[in-house]
Amino acid sequence: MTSLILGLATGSIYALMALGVVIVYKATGVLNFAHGAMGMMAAFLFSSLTLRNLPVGLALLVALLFSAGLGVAVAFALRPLRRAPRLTRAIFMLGMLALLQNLAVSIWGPKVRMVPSLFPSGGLRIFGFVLGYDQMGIMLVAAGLVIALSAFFRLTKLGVGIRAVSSDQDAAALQGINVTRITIVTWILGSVLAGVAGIMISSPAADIFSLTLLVIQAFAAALLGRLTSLPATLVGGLVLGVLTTVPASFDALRPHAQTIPPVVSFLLIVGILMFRSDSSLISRAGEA
Amino acid sequence: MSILRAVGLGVSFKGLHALEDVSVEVHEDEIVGLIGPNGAGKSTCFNCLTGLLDPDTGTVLLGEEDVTALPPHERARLGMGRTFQTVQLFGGMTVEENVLVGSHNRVAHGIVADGLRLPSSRSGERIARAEVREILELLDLWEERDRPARTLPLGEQRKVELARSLAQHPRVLLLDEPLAGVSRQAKQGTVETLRRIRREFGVSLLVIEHDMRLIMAITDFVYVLNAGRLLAKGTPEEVRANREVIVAYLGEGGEDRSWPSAGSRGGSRAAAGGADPGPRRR
Amino acid sequence: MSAGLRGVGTGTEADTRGHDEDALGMSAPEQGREVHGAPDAVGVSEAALRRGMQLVVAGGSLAVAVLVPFLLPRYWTFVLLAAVTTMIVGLSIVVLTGFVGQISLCQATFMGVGAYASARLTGDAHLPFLIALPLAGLAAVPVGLLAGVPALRLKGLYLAIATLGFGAAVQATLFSSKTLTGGFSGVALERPTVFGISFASDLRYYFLTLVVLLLLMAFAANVKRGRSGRAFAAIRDGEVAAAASGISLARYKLTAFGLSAFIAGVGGSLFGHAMLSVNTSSFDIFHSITFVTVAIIAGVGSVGAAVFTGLMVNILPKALDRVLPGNLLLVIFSAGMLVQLAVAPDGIAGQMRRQQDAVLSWILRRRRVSGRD
Repeated sequence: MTSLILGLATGSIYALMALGVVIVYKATGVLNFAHGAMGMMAAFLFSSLTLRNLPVGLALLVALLFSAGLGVAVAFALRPLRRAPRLTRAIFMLGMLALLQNLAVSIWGPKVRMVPSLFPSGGLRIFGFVLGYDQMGIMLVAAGLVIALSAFFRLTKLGVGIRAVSSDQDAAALQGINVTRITIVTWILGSVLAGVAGIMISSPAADIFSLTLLVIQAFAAALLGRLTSLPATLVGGLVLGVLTTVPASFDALRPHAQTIPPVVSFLLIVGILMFRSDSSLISRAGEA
Repeated sequence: MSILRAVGLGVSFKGLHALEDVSVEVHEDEIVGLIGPNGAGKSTCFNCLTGLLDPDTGTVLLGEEDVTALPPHERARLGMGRTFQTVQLFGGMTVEENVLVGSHNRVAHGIVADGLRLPSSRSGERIARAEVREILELLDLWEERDRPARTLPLGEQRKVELARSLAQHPRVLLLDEPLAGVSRQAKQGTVETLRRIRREFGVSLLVIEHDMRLIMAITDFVYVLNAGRLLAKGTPEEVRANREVIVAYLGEGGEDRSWPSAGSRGGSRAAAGGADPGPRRR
Repeated sequence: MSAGLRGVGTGTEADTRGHDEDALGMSAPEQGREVHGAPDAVGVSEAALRRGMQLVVAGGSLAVAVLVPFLLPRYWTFVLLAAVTTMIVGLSIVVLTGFVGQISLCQATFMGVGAYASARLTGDAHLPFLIALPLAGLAAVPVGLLAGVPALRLKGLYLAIATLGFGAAVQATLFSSKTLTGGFSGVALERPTVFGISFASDLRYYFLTLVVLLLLMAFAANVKRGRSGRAFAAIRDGEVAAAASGISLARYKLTAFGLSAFIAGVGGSLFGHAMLSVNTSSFDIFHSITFVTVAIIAGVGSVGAAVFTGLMVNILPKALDRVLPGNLLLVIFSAGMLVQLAVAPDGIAGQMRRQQDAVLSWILRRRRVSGRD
């Protein structure tokens, strides 16, 4: 049971990351390979600020502002490539991954960093198992963000604009929607989501490489949501979280706990991609 | 002797019948036409024949063999060639190289032989190039052999695609609208080329075409598709006079100067200035 | 007359360019790179001139490669030999991505298999290096075939994700396993001895790797020019037409992955023997990502382009080392790469080829002007 809770908490983080990936992909067609790296930068900034004795709340705010800024920077960096095929832009984001990673190493060094938790330590005892405050906090934050996002997409002008651009960019432009502005907002959203997820998952200790690699789990969850449906992505993230944590609780697999997330993610990714319904030669001929 | 036969092909996409109980047959040395209004299912039929699409029902036989379960490259290897509605040339290669791709299965040396330039690779290459040279010369493409294929005008590109499919030495060649987008001047040349091909290569042809003059001029037998079903079949003259077919193309009481009327001579010089039936449909 | 020359810009080329860009947005590199042109008065055709230029460039590069370790300070030799192993990996990417248009983000994984296999073969099994090296490459082949299976159904972006996941999965399982690969502490390798000659010194080992690189490049170039190379290019330029022409997509895609893995495996083995020890982090996804992004920047259109990958990954950073410290340099480097990608999708090699064409056409113009028409 404890591992189930842990699974759900981890899954919430995967879900948040995946949502960021899907939102950006739907609106811009760019698959953000650097998503994990962007979250990593926010987490490390957060860590540095708290180490300089900034209060956690303020550090969080600054880190998220930084995430927003990073999103804007990426959006602009991609402008020259806006007509390029999806793969080229994805490769660009791969380069961005390398850039951010090397940047992080040159600023903060390759070693692991301490990151304070956003939530109080300790937990509740329920029915004989422990529910950590941090786990509850993560799930609550995730839930809250998801609700806020739904409201945003449904009720605000910007949100509706993003949905319009996601379904048909040209039609949206013809309707007078400023696609550039939408693109920037979308990247801000995606980046901030990555930042929140990165900060939450990295307590107590943050490691540049594993944070950057979270993007693989994010992709797996995003694919479970077929890269289009936000609710399905949310569920996908939770499912992935559980699938990667619960097996590790079995004694036989415990020593291999580290290997499970990437392997499960990979198998899911390949399984989903390979066995999609229409994969005939003709339809694939049109795909880039 | 039957070279290619499709029996009872049926395909539906999301509840819509793209093809329903379609059977066509091509005999040795025959040129068969497949016509019908836009959206009738002609290309779908081709895709089933060549293996790009798995039909829900029906079988495809190449010669004596049931190829229904075989993938496209296997059918190509067994003697089925194909050209496409929009020319599919390999952009990065020259004319000669494009056609050499067609000769892929005429020799059999492997990648290691190529890499190490073993004798089998060198002789295989010689054989392939010799065969390809013949085809290129026959189609007047030899002079252009080193040009990047994509720099040629469309009519020439179609010839290259044709040459490539001939390099397979197929038993039957499926041509998807060989005259589409070809200028009026070039059309007659294409017709001549097709006649020459049948003569020199002894290959049967199955041709999708909207240009009725080509169909009248060159085919021995015609199938008419409409809305996924076989509407009529017969010799070109029979089909041309078939009331149902006329209605399908032109609507009730329709007049289309491009439709060769019963009174026109020979059928190959249709009404003056006749455009293809195709564009008007849109 | 100069219809086929790139860079000289004929009207027809501009019209058709849009139709011929592959998944990476690059124009497919010309397979034969031959230009049709009648011989001029002296009997030397454009094609021959172009071939002549290629020979000059290749010969010059070879001369540089042979001489440069003697011209630079001693510590450079190690950098050079590391660069050569990178070039071999770059070649594996040219074969897979350049020839066949398949994207793979797990080349370092293939390297790793080669390195670990070589360590076992030369270490535990005491096999001579000349035998262990190709075997190490072969050991990587099944891994390559596995990685290639998704390529049968996936293209472009989705294939990239799948291979990335594959690399991550292998890194987390096989490469981290203490029993199989020594986990985090890794394995040790030695500089080889071939026919009684020791290649322990950097200089000798450099020439050894150079020879292997040249052999592999020759093999790849031969493949490209032959039947299999055409099949690869056909798959890259038009899968559907390739299948209709009788080419088995599955067979050739898997072959490409296998060949690419073999080359990368050989590169990995040479890398391992160069570094004398390797561990999990030597072959992680980040390396794969670096290789592929740099290779794409460098260009994958020709066998020669592999050279640029090595130059950019190993030599350039070292050369600028005095000016900018380590990682910061890589940052700027990555940024530069991204700019390059935006500016010239067919890579540096593509740019070079266009320069070559420009020079060639300049030469031809001069000859005409001087009355040789």
